[in-house]
Amino acid sequence: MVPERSKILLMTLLLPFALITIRLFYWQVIKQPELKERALNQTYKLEKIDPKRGKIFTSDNYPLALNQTYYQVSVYKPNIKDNKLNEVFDKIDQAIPNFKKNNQTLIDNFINNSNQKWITFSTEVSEDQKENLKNLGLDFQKFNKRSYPESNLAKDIVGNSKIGGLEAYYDKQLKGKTGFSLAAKDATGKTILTKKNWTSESIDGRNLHTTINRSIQFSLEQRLKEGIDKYVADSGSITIIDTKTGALLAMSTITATSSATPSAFKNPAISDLFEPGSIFKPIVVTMALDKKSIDTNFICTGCGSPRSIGKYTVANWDSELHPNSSLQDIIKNSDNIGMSYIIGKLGEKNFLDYYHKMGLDQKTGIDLQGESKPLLKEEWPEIDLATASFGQGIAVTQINMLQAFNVIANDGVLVRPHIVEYFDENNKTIKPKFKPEVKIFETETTKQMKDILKYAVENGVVSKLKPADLEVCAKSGTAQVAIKGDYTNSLTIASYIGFSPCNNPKFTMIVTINNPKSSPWGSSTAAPIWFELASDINHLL
Amino acid sequence: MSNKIFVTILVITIVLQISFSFYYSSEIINQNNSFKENTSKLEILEKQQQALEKKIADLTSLSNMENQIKSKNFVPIDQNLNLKKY
Repeated sequence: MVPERSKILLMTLLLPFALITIRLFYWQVIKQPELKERALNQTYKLEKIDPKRGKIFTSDNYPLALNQTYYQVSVYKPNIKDNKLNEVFDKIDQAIPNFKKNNQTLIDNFINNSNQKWITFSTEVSEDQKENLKNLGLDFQKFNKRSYPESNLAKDIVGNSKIGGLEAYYDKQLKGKTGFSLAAKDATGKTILTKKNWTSESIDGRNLHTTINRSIQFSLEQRLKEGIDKYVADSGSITIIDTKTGALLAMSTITATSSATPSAFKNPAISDLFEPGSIFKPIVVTMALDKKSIDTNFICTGCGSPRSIGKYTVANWDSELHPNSSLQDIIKNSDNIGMSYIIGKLGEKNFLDYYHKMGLDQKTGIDLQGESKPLLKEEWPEIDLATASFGQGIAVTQINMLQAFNVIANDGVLVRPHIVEYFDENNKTIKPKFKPEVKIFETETTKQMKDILKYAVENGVVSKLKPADLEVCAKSGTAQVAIKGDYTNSLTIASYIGFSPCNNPKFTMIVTINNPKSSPWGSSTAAPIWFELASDINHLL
Repeated sequence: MSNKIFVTILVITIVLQISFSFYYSSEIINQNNSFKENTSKLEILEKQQQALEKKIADLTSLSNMENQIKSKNFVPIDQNLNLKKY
């Protein structure tokens, strides 16, 4: 028999054990799921792994867009020794110019408010500046920012901060794929390698290798800026493509007021519609020659007087008349009357068929954000067809016009304007897919048209502008601007379009100058810029 | 006798277990340190690469070249040479 006192002693010892066992059962079994979750949340951290944004390069591998690491600085009062906040902010100001000036209100509020323990400043801190701020008890949060080493060069093409241009069009390819990591962390935030960790790696964005020729782009921007100043114009746009492939060599729009500063992202060369005017005439003549509506021996017997169509009269831009003009002279003199007869012979249906085949009523599909769709009317009374022959009453973008004109340069084959040559992902080359080439005109037809354009350049008003070592096939145009349905003489778009050399051309280029005040004519404003730039390109290609 | 053998085996097993755990824990610590060191080296190298990439891009940019040329006040060669003399 166990004595009574021993029983009491045994019970006294067993009871706490029983209580502890019950409590342990409560925590380890009943509360187990909740506690496990809390423990996991404290030790395991889910972190985002940011991919690196792809870079953008010119055709000769110079970077147009890179990534740069910056930091945001944070101050946590308990981390600052002896609460010497003023001293710390003075040191930050020494390392980052104008830091205090730009953040004065925030700093004052932070110092004076004892309840506020933490503050983060939006000021960008570079890697070097961060190094100079070591050992002050500051915290830094890393972020990546785009850097454009060529500054504003090709800004219309590249875009900025994912708005417009290549940055927006290829955002999906450039940004890559975010990764995640679920890892056990110790008290200092370091990964505990002995515990099981899960990682889904990030995939860096693809690098874009463009067809842009950096030297031509630079020359283009300089010549265009000089031209806008010289001809007192509101703005101007130039686009140059490789004739054979449609690869964009250079493109820019410069406005007189903000030529040096980046504007809100709109690229007028692909988004602004304009009436092409006389630069459209060679396209109509090529259509008529290809359809055999006329031949190269065509003589305009009606060109001796203005042409009346209904209540309208078709006259020439300079009010001059050129009786019995040959086809060559119709283009050389930019004869509206002659053109109205040619399109009459071509007919509405054929004209619209070619118009559609040349992509003039649809977007070119160029790989840039913000391309506009051209406008084309549905009804075509005789007077509208006549005015369309000299580029009035139709509206296209600059890139549309260039794509169509390039068909003449490229022996009747339509090629698609494009900018990206290839993507590079982990040293693997990926070629983008573009719409296929289309044969529109017979090679013989384009050869005939090239002869006419060459004759027009060498015998027309621009002949003195042409450098002797250049063979050029081109056409000038001056379009009045329609405001609320009426044409005004006070606003004009002067343009010049062409290619060089005539046989086996290297490039096709269009220059449009908006509202030049020194002279409204394309031959006096856009053409000189075209020839100067063509001379530069001749040395660069 | 058998009791003594059993205790001896038990003691040896415990000593071995402790030795193994010491050895492997130090190995884990070493590998962890080496991982942290390499991660930090990689970060430094990536930063250096980024800085160099930026520096070379800035130096070879056409705007920089243009500024350099302007600041040097170069005189076109045809203003210095009289080619007709030769």
